[in-house]
Amino acid sequence: MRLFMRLVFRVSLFLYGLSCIAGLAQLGPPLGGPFRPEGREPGLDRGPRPESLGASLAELGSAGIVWYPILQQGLAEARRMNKPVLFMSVASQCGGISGVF
Amino acid sequence: MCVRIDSYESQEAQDLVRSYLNGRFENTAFCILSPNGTQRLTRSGRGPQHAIRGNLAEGLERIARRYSPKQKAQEAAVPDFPNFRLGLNVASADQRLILLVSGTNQELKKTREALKAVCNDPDLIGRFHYDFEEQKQSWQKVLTGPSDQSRLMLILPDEFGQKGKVLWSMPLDTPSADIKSALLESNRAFANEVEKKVYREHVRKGRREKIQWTMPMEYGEDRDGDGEIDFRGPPRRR
Repeated sequence: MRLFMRLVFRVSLFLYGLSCIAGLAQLGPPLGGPFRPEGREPGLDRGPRPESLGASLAELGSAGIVWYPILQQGLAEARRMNKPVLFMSVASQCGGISGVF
Repeated sequence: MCVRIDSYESQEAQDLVRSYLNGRFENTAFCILSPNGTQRLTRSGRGPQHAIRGNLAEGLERIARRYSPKQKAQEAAVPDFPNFRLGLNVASADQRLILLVSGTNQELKKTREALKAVCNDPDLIGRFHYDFEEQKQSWQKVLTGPSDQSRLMLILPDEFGQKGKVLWSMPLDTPSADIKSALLESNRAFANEVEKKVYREHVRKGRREKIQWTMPMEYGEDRDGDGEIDFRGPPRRR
């Protein structure tokens, strides 16, 4: 009986060890691996590459979003109208090439 | 209400981005704010998918329903850019025509009010960009066509948003109905004659032609949030 209990204990310990290793593997790359800030989802930490982007789905000349390009002006309007603010900060270039976002 | 600023426009813009991205600086940041701008109503992140899970339109609708709008939408202020150079580039990126209003401070103030009816007209809303400029030096060198001070000028931005062509110009006191019909006609011609940009081809062409766009702030991201722009290039091997 004592031998059996010892065997059960050792097997449990082994299984616990395995589960810890598996858990660590799920947490992310080991130290020294590629950097991914906490809370960020895999695959979302970089924007799409230029090569993977085609044309906008919107038709030219069609109505789009009315953007306020100056924060203070947009916030003043939001206060006046009591509307929440969809805020975006973007780069109007791609690697120094203008005319795209 | 939709606010879209340029991340490389100023130190103030970059500080704002860092405040939304836990100290990191990246090309893009996205967040939903309360009407007074002081409270974040969603998580913030690099893109809308970080802030709103699932269907974006439904998520926005859900948030908007918590607030009852005041004032008439038709009286909303006409959007303006911090400068014409940025306005022209953004208009090119969005593939929209931009209405440049040039004049003295007093003239601009008056025209901002008068243009509200045009800008918020259901047939025109969201189809144009607008920029108000006092200094003609800010636009004179980059425009071709009939341009003059104290005028409304409709501009067609070039492919890379660094130059523009004046399609027409009108006096500042032109009646709203006349401005509206001219804008509608120009927008129709624009939609028929201009080709839609294909992102990858645009970037490839820009690289080939060595197009360069400089902004007040250094280009690059600080993904580790150490306050410095990160190394740009292929990953370093250890």
